[in-house]
Amino acid sequence: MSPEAQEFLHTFVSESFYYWASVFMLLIHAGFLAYEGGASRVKNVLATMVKNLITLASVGLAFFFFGWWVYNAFPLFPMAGPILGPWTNPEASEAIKAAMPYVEGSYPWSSALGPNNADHMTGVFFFAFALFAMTTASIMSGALIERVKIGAYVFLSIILGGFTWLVAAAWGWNYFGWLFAKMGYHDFGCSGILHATAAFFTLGVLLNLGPRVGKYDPQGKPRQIMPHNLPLTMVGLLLIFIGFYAFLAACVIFLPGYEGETTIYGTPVTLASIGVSTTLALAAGLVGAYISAKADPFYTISGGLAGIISAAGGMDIYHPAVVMLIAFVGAFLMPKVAMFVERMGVDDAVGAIAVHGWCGVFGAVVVGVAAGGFPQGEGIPAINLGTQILGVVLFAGLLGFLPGYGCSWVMKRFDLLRVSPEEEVAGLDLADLGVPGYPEYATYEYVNEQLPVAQSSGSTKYAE
Amino acid sequence: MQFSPLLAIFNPSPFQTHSEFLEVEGPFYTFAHQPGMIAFLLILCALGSIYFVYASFFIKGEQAGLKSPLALSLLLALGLGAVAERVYQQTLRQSDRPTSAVTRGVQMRSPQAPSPRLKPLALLGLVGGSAAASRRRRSSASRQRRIR
Repeated sequence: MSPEAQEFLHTFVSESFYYWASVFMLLIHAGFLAYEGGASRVKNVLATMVKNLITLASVGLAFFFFGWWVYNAFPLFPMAGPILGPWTNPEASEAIKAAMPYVEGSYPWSSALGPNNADHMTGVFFFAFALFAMTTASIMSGALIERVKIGAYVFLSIILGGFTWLVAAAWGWNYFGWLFAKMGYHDFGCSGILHATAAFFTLGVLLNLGPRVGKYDPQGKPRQIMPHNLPLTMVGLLLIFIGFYAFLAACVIFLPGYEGETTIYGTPVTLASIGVSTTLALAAGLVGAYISAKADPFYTISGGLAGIISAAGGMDIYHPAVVMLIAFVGAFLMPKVAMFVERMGVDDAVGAIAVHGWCGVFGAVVVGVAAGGFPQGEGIPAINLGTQILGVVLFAGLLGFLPGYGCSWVMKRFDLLRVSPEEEVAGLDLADLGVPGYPEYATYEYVNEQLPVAQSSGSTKYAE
Repeated sequence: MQFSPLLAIFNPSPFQTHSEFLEVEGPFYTFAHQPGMIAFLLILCALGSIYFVYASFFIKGEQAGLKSPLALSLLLALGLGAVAERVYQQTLRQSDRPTSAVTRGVQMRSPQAPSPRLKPLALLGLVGGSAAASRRRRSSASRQRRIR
């Protein structure tokens, strides 16, 4: 084999790895779609699934038009330099000079994103990051089901998936990011960067959106609204697990010319250990939630995801025993956090704040303890608790809760956030889409409203 | 900003410099230099796994979890208080200590400092306390049902 062919093979291996990892990440969305659809009531199942599906469009397009640029343009801002763009002088500093090629490759008009056999990697990283972005917005999707306007969700998904989480990623999940380079933040699997940002953004939205009709009794005590199809929800979470194996694999960097795998921070990692750790985190998470929630099926299966998120921040360097302990503790406390949130009057239909918010915060902070003192690159501070806490405050508060609350507050003022009570009671399948999700089922509406009308009028349309 | 209050209590990193880490050949996971800690953690996980198998015979679906937000709040506050106190003490200790004295495999600890190996136990105690508390509440509730 000629040296040129060997070099191309190396490139193709990298390109293929990210391509297929990203394809498998799409299973996260298949999973969220099934999970949320199952968690909704019969009258909302189609609208819930369509809303989730639309995330692929809203975030995918936003990511192309500005999200990919945001990730590459914000690493230095505001602590180490300006926002980078066509107006930036590449010679202004060494850091800007090093970062500018990535910025130039992220413009929608960049030649790197079209067919270009001089650049096989920019496009495939765009693909992977677009899937990360869609995952971020999907986390919000489930919490808002059964009462949010689709337009409001589309707008919020663009803000979250196309902007705020990407600023978080630029700061803490980018080799040039100031939070990493200047302070040593470490979050291999995006516990804080992605999950905490998304969940606290969602919390801000939920405070303005309010609970579903009938969720709380007149005394303010929560009522249980059962998922209409718990088995579908469980299948959905299994798909999410598969997707998260790919998600975490895609966090491993292997580029043409590399002699080993690294994290996005340039530190060593192995794909094999990510497989071991993800499996153990999943297992320990399921155990933690199973014991804590007394075998509640919804929380038990969510425990697998809670375990993975809890351990993701330091999965590149944790020993398997550390992974198990952290995943267990995160998942064990998750159901209790979910019930606490519910009792505080926040109607989070799928437990996103507990699973992604609590475990995201816990997973990011615990890196500072369980992997505290680990050195990173030259001139970069070691992993430390203070920076991990600072990161979480920035992600959950500044880039999560505040924009989520602010945007939804404005939409609420203009009556753009929530459907009318009549539409909510009728169900969003009919109100938004005009078709029921299960037209042949003997639903409550069919038995009590349509069938009597049909019988009294002598019509055979419904009676058949 | 270097702020690693727990670093000297227990040190998960087997490396002291970035070059050691970046050029490593072989294991590079947390506590790779402390086989005793790994053994302890593995035993803990094994015990937890055995408990899971045991518990799976008896756990039945019921209304899960938190009976009292106050109890959880107190537990969280106690845990945070303990961490804050440890951070404060450690910061004081670090300010008195020359950084060059910390070399690989040698950790300086004040005589009053508790054993680093007990710290994970303390964390588990928090969780165990929560579980025990909820178990006590359930036992009490079931006793009351039986009495009726």
